Parts: sequence; C-alpha cells; structure tokens
Amino acid sequence: MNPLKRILYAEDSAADVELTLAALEEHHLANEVVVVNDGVEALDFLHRRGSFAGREPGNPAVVLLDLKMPRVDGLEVLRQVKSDPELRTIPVVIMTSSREERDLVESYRLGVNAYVVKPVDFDQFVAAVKEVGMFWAVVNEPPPENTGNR
Amino acid sequence: MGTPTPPGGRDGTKAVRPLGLGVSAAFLLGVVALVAIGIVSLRSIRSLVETSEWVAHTHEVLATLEAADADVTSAEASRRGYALSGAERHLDGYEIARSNIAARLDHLAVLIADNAAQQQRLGRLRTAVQVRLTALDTAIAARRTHPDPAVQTALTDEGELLMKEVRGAIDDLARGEAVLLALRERTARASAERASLVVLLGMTVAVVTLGGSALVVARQIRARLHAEEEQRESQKSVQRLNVELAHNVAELTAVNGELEAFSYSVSHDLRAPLRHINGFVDLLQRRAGPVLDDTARRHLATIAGAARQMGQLIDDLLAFSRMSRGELMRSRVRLSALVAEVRDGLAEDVRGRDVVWTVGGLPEVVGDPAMLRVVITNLLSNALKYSRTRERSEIAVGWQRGDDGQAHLWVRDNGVGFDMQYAGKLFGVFQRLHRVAEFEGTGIGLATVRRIVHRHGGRTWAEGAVNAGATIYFSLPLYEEGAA
Repeated sequence: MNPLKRILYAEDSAADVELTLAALEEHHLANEVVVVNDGVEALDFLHRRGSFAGREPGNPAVVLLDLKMPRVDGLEVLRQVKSDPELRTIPVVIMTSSREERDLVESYRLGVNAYVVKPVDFDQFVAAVKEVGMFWAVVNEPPPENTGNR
Repeated sequence: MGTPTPPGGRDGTKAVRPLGLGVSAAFLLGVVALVAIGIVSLRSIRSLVETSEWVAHTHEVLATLEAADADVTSAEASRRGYALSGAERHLDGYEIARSNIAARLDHLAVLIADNAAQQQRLGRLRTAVQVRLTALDTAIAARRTHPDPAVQTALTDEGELLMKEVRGAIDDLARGEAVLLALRERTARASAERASLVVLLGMTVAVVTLGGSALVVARQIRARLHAEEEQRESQKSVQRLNVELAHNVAELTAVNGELEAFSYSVSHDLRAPLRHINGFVDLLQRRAGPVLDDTARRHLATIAGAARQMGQLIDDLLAFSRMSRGELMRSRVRLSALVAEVRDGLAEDVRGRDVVWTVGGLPEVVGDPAMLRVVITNLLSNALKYSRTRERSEIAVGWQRGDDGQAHLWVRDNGVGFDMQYAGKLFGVFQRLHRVAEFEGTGIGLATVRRIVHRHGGRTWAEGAVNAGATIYFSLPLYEEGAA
C-alpha cells in the first residue's frame, strides 16, 4: 500500500498536469500529488472504490479541481464532496482557465474553499500554483480525521 | 392629400351613444298614438252597436204598427161579417182584435217612450183608434136593434173615413221612426268615419315614430355589434402580436444563450492552450536556455510575447462582450466626480511626465456608473498614451448642450492624432491606426466606448489630424431634475 498523499489533483489536460507539477516541483510538493483525469476517478479515489479500492484510508489535505472535465465535471465533484458527511470537511480548490462569473457564483454556492483562475503568463501561473499548494497542503491545518459527522 | 377623413370612418373612433332622448320621445308618441287609436275605435264600435240596436228597434216599432193596422182591419172585417149575417161568432173575432189593438198600443208606448214627438203621434193614433172602435161598437149595437142594411152602409162609409185617420196616424209614426233611424245612422256613420280617420292618422304616427325609433335602435345595435367585432378583431391581432413577440423573445434568448456559450468557450478553451504555450516555452528556456544561441532564445521570447498578446486580446474581447450583454443599471452620474476618480486611478501612467489637465465643469448624466467609468477610463488613458511623445501632454475635457438635448462631451489631446481619412475605422473592434511597436494595445478601447455610448442612446465621433492631436466626442442623456 502506498502512503497517503496530501494533494488530489483532478485535471484532464496532460499539458496542464505537467505545468502544474513543474510548478509544484519548485517547492518539492510534486511527490505529494495524486493525479486523476476526470471527475469519476476523483470520486473513486475519495470513496476508495474502483481502481482506488486498495488505497490507504484517510482524506487528502486538499482537492484541486479543474472545472471542464469529461464524464463528471468539477462542479459535480464539488457538489458530491460537499454533500457527503464523510468528505465535506476536505478543502476543495477550483483551478480553472475561465473567469466566467456563473462558474464562480455556482462554486461558492456549493461551498468551494478557494477559486483560482490560472494565469496565462507562466511566471504568474507558477506563483499561483505554488501559493495554492503551499497554503492548503502545508500551511493550512487540515480537519481531524473522522469528524465529518459532527 | 387634402381629403378629410370621413366621419365615423375605419378608424373606429365613432363612439356608440346610448339611446337618445329623441328615440325615447318617439317611442312614447307611438305608444300614445296606439292608445288613442284604441279609445276612438272602442267608442266608434259602441256607437255602431247602438245604431244597429236602434235599427232593430225601428223595425220592431214598424212591425207593431203594421200589426195594429192589421188588427184594426180585422175588427172592421168582423163587424162587417156580423152586419151581414148577424152571427155571434163574428163578434168573438171582433173582441179578440180589440184586445190585441190595446196590447199593441201599450207596447208601442213602451217602445217610443224616449221620444216626445213620437209619443205625441202615438196619442193621435190612440185617439183615431178609439174613435174607430167606438164607431164599430155603435154599429154593432145598431145591428142588434135595427138590422137595416142602409144604416150599415152609411156606417161603413163613415168607417172608411175613420179608417183613413187611423192609417194616417200609423204612417205618421212610421215616418217619424224612419227619420229617427236615418238620423242615428248618419251619426253612426260620422262616428265611424271619424274613427277611421283617427285610426289612419294614429297608425301613420305610430308607424312613423315606432318605425323611426326601430331604425335608430337597429342602427345603434349594428354600430355596437360592429364596434364589438372590431374590438374582437383588435384583441385577436394583439394576441397574434403577443405570440410573435414571445416567439421573438424566445429566439433572442436562444441567440443570447449561444453567444454566452460562445464567450464561455472562448474564455475557457482558448486560454488553456495559450497558457500551455507560455508554460512550455518557459520550461524550455529554463532547461535548454544555456545551450541555445541568441537567435533561438529570441524566437522563444517572440513565441511567449505573441501568446501573451493573444491572451490580452481574448480578455479584451470578453470584456467588450460583457459590456454589450450586461444589463444597464441607469442612475444619476456626476461626470465631474467620475473624471476626477479616473484621473486619480491613472496616476501611475502620469508619473514622470508633464501633463496639463484642463477639465471644465461637467454635467450630470443618466447612465450605468460602472460602464461610464469604462468609457472615461478608456478615453483618458488613450489621451495619455497617444500624447506621451510630447514634451508636455495637454489633455482637456469639456462639454456643451447639443441640438438633440443631450450632453455632447469631448476629450482632446495634443498627441499624434490621426488621419481623418481613417476616422471611420477609429471605433471598430480591433481596428488600430498605429503599429503595436509604437503604441501598445489591442484596438478594442474605442470600440468599447462606442458600444457603451450607443447602449445609452448616444453617439460617438472624432476629429483630428496627423501630429495635431485628436478629439473624441460622445453624447449622453442629460440628467433632468425630477425626470430620472
């Protein structure tokens, strides 16, 4: 069994995954990331089912979600996480290309913990990803395990 | 051309009046005429019935007179029979005739009790009959005592004279009765003629008035029905228009939805690959930078710069699209305060430059404050940008009331200006009159200004000359006290 990693990253674009991991690498956080390619895999991971049935129990410190993904999109994953008593305390960060207001409004309505628009400029992108990774995976104190039912 | 609209024409403005006073009066007149006809007819009928009763009465009188005549004749005949034969049975007939005569005369007295002249004539008849009967009695008595035929003959001659008197009295009575009958018939005929006249007149009045009222009422009913029909028609056309309107709204909503989907996909799908280009160029520079020559590094920098420029274009285009779609939140906007705020926000651009601002007293207008802020920001930063090659930038903002009642505002600079030949391109999307190398920008600023001003019901135009500065004009609705 692999040890639990601190960041679950759901992103369907291989290029985005590589750039994000490159950015996280600068803070040596890349090894803390589990990458899944869509919403279905993200939910499988969180519920420890399907190909993730055998993973170590426990929740990640943070979930990074892209909005536009095949099958189940980011907003749906967010909705299911925040309506599940076992999962809703996990911090969820939306990372998206779009600055569309309705996505922003819907995300906060569903209870997102942070909403990040990925900058086009790579330096800014690296800075944004590093800050998100550092804050949620290192600086922020995650909720104690098994307190979802309070 | 000069033809006046016919009254009560197709415009449907003719009001449906309530039944007028005239129609009510005509109705009343018609009813009065009918009642008058009824009364006069009744009276005439009664008069005719009376006349026919009188005719019967006259006939009865005449019949009674005839019977009396016959009785007297019969009495005479009985006396003569007795005188010839001396048989007592003739006397029986005589007695019967006598008592009959008395009864007839009494009956006549009752019949003509209403008329004094006839009563007088009856008196004469009574006397004549009495004289005649007395003569007959005398003759019968004489026969009993003196059965001499000569005496009897003399009596008979005298009797004929007496009989003539009786007949004369009867004729008198009959004539009197005939005269009365003629008089009554004349009266009845006159009454009938009068009644006919009244009925004819009354009928005419009734027909004219009631018919006239009926025509008027019918016309009003027709007018009302017509008005109702027109109302139904117009309701139908309103409903049709509503349906069309709903259809158009649905289409517009669909188009809007498509536009939104389009800009969403532009926002998301076009930005992601740009980010990837930028990111991988950067990674490449880090990894391969030391082994690349200057030309290769410049190529990588050009790729990164182009991607950034395209990112800026997309952002500007999305902002422009938002300005076109967002709802206008109209309120009172103090342009003086707005210009001052925007100037403060541009302090960074002014740093280290000699800029002279000339801002006159600006009016209050009606508009969306956020959108008007975009207009002012774009215009002032344009003025700063295109005048930055001058030793001293001179920027002026002013206004005047236009002929159209709107505020005509202008922003003038002493910058590089433009060729009036290309003034039409100035406000187009992504239209630029300068090279990016000279003046950065995507060419969306003035297009956004025009779009916002148009949405406020205003216009934009410009004046300028190459190297002699530019003046951008725009108009906005003035705020009027108590109007907004």
